[in-house]
Amino acid sequence: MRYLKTKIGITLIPILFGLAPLVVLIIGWGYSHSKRKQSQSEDEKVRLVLAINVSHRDRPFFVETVDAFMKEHPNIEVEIRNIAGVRYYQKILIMMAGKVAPDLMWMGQSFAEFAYKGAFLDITDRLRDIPYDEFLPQALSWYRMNGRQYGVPYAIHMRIFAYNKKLFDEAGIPYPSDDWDFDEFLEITKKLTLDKDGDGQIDQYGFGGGLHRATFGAEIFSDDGQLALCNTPEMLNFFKTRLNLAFKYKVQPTMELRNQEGSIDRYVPFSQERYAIIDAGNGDRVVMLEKCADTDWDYVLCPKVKRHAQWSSSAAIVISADTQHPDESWELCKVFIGDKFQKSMALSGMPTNINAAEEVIAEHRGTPSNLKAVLKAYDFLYPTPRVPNLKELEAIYIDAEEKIMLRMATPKDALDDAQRKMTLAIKKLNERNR
Amino acid sequence: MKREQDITALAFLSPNIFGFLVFTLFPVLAALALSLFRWDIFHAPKFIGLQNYFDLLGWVFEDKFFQWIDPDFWKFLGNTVFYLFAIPLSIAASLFLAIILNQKLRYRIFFRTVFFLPTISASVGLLILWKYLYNGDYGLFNFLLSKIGIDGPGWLTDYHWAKPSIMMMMIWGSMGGVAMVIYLAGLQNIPRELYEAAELDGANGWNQFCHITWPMLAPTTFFIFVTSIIAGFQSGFDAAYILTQGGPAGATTTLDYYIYNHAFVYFNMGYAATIAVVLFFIVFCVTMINWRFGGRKVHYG
Repeated sequence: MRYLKTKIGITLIPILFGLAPLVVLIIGWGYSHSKRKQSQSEDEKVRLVLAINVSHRDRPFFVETVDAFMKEHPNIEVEIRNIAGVRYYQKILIMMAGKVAPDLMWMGQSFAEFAYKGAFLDITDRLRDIPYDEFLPQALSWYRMNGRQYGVPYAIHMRIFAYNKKLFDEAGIPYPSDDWDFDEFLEITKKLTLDKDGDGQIDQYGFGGGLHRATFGAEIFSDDGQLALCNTPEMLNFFKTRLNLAFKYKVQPTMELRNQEGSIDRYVPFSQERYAIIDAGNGDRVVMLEKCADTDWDYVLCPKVKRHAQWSSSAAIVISADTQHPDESWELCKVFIGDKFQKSMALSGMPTNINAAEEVIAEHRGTPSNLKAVLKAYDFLYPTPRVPNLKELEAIYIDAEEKIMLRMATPKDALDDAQRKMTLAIKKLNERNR
Repeated sequence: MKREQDITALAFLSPNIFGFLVFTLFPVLAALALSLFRWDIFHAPKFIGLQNYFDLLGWVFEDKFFQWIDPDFWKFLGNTVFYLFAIPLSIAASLFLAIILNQKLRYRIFFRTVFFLPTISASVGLLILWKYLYNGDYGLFNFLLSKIGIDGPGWLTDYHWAKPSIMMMMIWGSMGGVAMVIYLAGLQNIPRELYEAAELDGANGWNQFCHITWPMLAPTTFFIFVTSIIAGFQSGFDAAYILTQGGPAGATTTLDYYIYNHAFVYFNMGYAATIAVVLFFIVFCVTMINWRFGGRKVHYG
């Protein structure tokens, strides 16, 4: 006994104590592993994980749809994981790296970055199950790569303009029409920019939104991402115009001012009548209706420079290439592609099924009265370019944009620099992706 | 007997050794290895030798000038070094607070707790609070400045103000933290007799500080300085992530945030690991220089 206390006890107890974390880790891993397998075999149910990135307003639609799906398919159990937020794609990436990718996942403008890496299931041969021809071809093409289809979007998000009708009435300006051009836009914004209390500070800006380079026919790079197009005359014109709006005509707050308001989004100053016109995403219609409930506002197509184009994106549910249940996943995917779901989500994005979109427009009453402008904008969709390293290349452009708009560099210098950096980056990326 | 003692010692140390091996040494070695690969997480890593290092630290001859292949790295290294200038101010503020709180004040414990609060509070919450304080339109700072007729800057949105603003926040966050507690411990270890003798010799408070407190605290200051430099090179991520996203125009992007972007936004794990390895060597070299030159001047009682 004494021996145990003095020799073995003193030596063994700390050793056991030291090994305890290791043992706990091993046992924990083994337990969770066996538990998973056990539960799988117990009830023979197929378990699918669906990752989404939607607001609290949209989540109930997904829950309802999934519940109805599970009732119809009692052998399938679906777990929804709402990973809402700007870091959604990073989280999905980490899940994929950890080999725990969801079976189905929400996908938007980062589709190409994942698709190039072979992350999604090819659904080309399954498209016969859906009314493929009814979908907007441009929207479908966003989820196509090398002739293969990887997803079908259920909603299109695009930016058009929203204007405050009361401020137009007060200034005696007729409401803008969808075929307005940039000169008309500039004249209107000048009239709507006011120093109401005469203190030398602008209290009401004619325009509080953002113009998009696509309106000016400018692009960051070619469609295939192989050619940098940062310093084209169109791009130069785009930035000169933006600078003029902010600093020459002063009809738009400077980027610095807008950044300061970034934390409260532009709908608040719009509802407070500090901005007369803003760019508004049709996907935010529900947010706008809420935040601008006391404002009489309407949609109008973006003014035309070279075209009425504005930024646009879409939302789709895609299937992981690693799923163990491709057939069941496709069954669920079809529900999200269906008319019913698309129409239910119309407040957060227009249906990609043209018939469903037209029905939504026809059934719509109230604000905004010109909802059909969204449908018109279908002709000017400017999708996010599909290149494998979009964010890395875009970061170069954004850096140049900030330098120009904060007047740290002239448009020419900043864009030439961006062009050089992007050309080098494309070369490096090609080597990396080879 | 000795063998048994060794085993016992090893056994007591084993939890820590295990944690160090699994959570520190292995990731460090993995990062070192990864820096020699190209890896986007989806595909198998591809060995590319030192290419990542050439891309990060190399230059090209273009338009009659040598240009860095990755100029952003140097810019963000500059940002990181800029933040290091907060360290002396932060140390001075910590020492000041520690001296105040070492006096026999009423509610001394309460104030010590209050000053330590930022260290134990969730940094995200604090950063969001600072974001509101700094807001150009409705932030407290600009409101107060407007009361004296000053049109305050866009603290976080102006290219020239963004870095100093984050530095101010860093100083606030660290002045009452661990450094203050270590200084308090250091102050309490200074023998009272030294001050009594100095008083008898007619030394005033400032003389006592210069000739007793400061030299006696030299080892403490040196320790705080070295650890702050190490931490400083790895700082700025929280602020960049939550307050500025590295902007405006990259003014607040530090190497830490740059590593994060390459790893988890651009999916360049190998390149991110390369930046981490280079950062490690920078920190290592600076620490060695500190020990080599700073260590000599420290008086260990």
